[in-house]
Amino acid sequence: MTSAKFISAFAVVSLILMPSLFFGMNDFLVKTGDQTLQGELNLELLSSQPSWMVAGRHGLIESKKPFILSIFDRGIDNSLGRLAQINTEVDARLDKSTKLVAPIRAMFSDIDLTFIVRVILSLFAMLMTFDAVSGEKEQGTLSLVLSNAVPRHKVVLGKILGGFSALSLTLVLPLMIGLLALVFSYPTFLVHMSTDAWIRLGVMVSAYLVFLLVFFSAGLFVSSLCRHSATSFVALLTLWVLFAAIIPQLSLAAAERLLPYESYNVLQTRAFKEIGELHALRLQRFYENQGYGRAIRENRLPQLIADIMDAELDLQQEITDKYERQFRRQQDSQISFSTTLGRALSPTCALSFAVQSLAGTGWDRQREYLSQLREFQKAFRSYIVGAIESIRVDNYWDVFDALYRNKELDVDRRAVTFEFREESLAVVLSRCAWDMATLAIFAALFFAAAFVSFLRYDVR
Amino acid sequence: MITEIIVKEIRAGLRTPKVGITYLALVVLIPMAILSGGLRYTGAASEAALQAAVERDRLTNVINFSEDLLERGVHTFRHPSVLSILVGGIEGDSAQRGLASNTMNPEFDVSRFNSVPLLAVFGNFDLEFIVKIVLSIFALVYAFDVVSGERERGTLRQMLASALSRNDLLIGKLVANFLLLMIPFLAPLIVGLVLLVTLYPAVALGGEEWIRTALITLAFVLYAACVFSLGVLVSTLTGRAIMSFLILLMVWVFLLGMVPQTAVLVSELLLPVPTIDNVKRRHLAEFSPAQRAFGRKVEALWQRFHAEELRRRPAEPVERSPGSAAAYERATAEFEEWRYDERMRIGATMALEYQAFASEMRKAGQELVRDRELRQDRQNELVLAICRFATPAGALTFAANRLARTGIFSSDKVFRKNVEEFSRKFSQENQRLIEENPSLAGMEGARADPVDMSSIYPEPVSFAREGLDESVSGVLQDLAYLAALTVFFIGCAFLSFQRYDVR
Repeated sequence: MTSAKFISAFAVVSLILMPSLFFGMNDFLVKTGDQTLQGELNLELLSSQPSWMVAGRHGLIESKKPFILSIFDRGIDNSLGRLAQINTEVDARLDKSTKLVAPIRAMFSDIDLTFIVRVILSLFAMLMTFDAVSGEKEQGTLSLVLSNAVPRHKVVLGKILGGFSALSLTLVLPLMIGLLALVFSYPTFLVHMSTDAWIRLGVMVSAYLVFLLVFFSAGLFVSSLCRHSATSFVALLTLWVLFAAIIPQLSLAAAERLLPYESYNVLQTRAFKEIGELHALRLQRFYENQGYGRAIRENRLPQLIADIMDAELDLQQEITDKYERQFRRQQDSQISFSTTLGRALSPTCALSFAVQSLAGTGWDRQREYLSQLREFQKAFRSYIVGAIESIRVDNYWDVFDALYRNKELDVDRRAVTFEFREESLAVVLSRCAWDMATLAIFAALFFAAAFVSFLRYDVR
Repeated sequence: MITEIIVKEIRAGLRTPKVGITYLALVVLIPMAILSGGLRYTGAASEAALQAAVERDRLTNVINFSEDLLERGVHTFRHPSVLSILVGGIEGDSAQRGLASNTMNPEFDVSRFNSVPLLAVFGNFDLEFIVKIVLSIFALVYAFDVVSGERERGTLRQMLASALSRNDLLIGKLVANFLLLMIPFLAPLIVGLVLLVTLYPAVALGGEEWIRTALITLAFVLYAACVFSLGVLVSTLTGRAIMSFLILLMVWVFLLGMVPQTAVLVSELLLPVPTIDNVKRRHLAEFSPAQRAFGRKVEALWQRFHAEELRRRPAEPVERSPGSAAAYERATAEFEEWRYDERMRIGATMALEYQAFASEMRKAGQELVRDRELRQDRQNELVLAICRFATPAGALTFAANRLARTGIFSSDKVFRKNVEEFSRKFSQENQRLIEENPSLAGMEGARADPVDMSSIYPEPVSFAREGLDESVSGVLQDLAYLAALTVFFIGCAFLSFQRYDVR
């Protein structure tokens, strides 16, 4: 019977994992494929503009680079924006998530390895253990086992080690087969998997295993508490629903209720309006005073425009930063409240956060990407201003030509190429340390409880 | 006879822990889901209204027509669907904001999950989630030992030893256990709805919404019946209860997870769709030669102007005399005036030409975007065709989403149509204003009087969604499918039970 359980678990996991990995890889390759063209097209886009001002207005298009481990854990990546416009007009923002663009993906969510562990294998873990003690008692075999000269604690340890090793295999074996299949089907897979990525994957797998240990131990514990295996079954199912669904949603709801904040869209609309008014005033001032006439006479119009633009961009940045700071503060407090509550109370939460951090498919990497993108935006804007500033007007008659009509803009490739620096391994590991610790504590608690409970178990 | 069995079964069931726990769980979860849905909905609705108000305010006082309005465009915001309270659907991931502009195609962006990423971590906590995951597991728990459990306990033989026919017994068990399952589902549902209406008076549920809610509940009940009858069927096929549950769990995982996943994968491989950035870049890449051509045209114009300039520029007088100096100054002043006027004229002409050019660019982009959308549609249709028939969960998802108007066809598409319509109206209004006052289009626009365009701005709630007739006819096949599957499973269960070994 037990072997039937394990074989079916192994079969289910393998059958679901394979399409999941292949789909993930396909998705990853499509998204990265576009990346290579990006640099060239951005350069082309900029240099074909008639003037530096227009070039600044149109700007660049950046799409987010996916991380290879998204094959194993999709996280919330597909709901987070992927495209950003970098220009002198609007503040950069990552939008157009995969699911927004392809709504069918929103309707039927991707299954990934994390889902398999979080839902399928945890259910199996409980299924394997719920009758480990109470079932044997019912069948009468328990007293037989314990009537031998085998000390109780050895029986428990034997059960736990044996059972858990088998459970681990139902995760590790299909994963290895999956990895082999990937290596053979996609030659670039190994190229993308850096040492960093392998280490992260290793930590992810250990997180999965500790998570399974939690449910495994919980199963043994509840099994040794209940007289009838039917009761332990239902109790475990309830525990599962509590951990997997109720607590996460409750912590989220609590955070939303206690620490609400206006969404970024509202703030951006307000910022948009404020900046719009700014632009309008800019043009009015430009024509009315600001030393426009004198600048033309002194062949200094480009430099004047560069100055004005610089000042305007600074002011625009100030406005945006003001809203941004307020928003970040509120968002951060809500997120940290919710995640702290969730991870403290539910191993499922802790696992999700840990794995998303490691696989780069959570909020952390998005945030890092956005902040680096904004840094790049500052640099790009400075570059445009600098280019305008360096326009030389030799002749009074040529001033408008110099400003508004360029045959071909000489764009510095390096200045307009954005390279994302992935977070270092140390940072990522330290961030998920809390979650790993929580998982370990849960596992240890249930394990100890199961141990103690079994030692005092009434076998009659 | 059957009634007696039913009553007996119900009494027996009420004493088991599973009923108590199911009731407890659903009494907590269902109202929680509905109320949190209400919270989310009112939050999203007030946000849409707020953003629309800010945007409309901006439109009452447009200072720089050309830059501010023509180029930046105008944003419209989508009001969430009321029934997203019950069935979140794809609302969390769909675009809440549309952009109408002269120089760009309508753009759609800003999804709820992107703005509040924490919401995405555990997905929609709505009634659909509870039914699809929690209720279906409970349905399996109720059903799996209906026959095989009794056999294990040895009571099955006793029951059949009396003058009880197998059919009657099975009917009794089916009805009793299904009732036991439905009551802890329907009662909290009603309580939740009452609480919703009481605590959120702002939520406007009209007659149509209540009909939809009833139909959604019907879909849920049919789905639960389907899963339950499958559970009973498997119970009549296996000897040991635990074996039943194992098999059912596997089937559950396949139907809920693997089938949709495989359907999406297969469709992506058979009918791939280019990503949005791919389309954008292709558009811009195709557009860039046109841009250069336009640049050359502009260049030619200015060259002609330069030539004319050189021709008209007054020559400096050879001898310096007061008369000639004054004449020179006058000539220069005239020349500068001509120059200024000519530049303004060319500037305005160029601005209008640019508008024409920009609309060309938009049209070209539209081709690519349309092509992409068509491909996406075909892919969606394939996925749905597979999912709606290969798994009851697919049929339920589709039906519930469509009835709640939070699905693919009834939600996203309609919003896009609405924004495109507004975009057209917006362009027409722009055209009219420029024709009345051509200086608005050029650089002079910065000094013109403020324009008030707020009259054409639509309210978020005015974006119409699919009508009841369309929704109902769309989901009839799914409801029929679920009912047919249930009947099929029950039929097979009866057949199987006839030959069941009760020893």
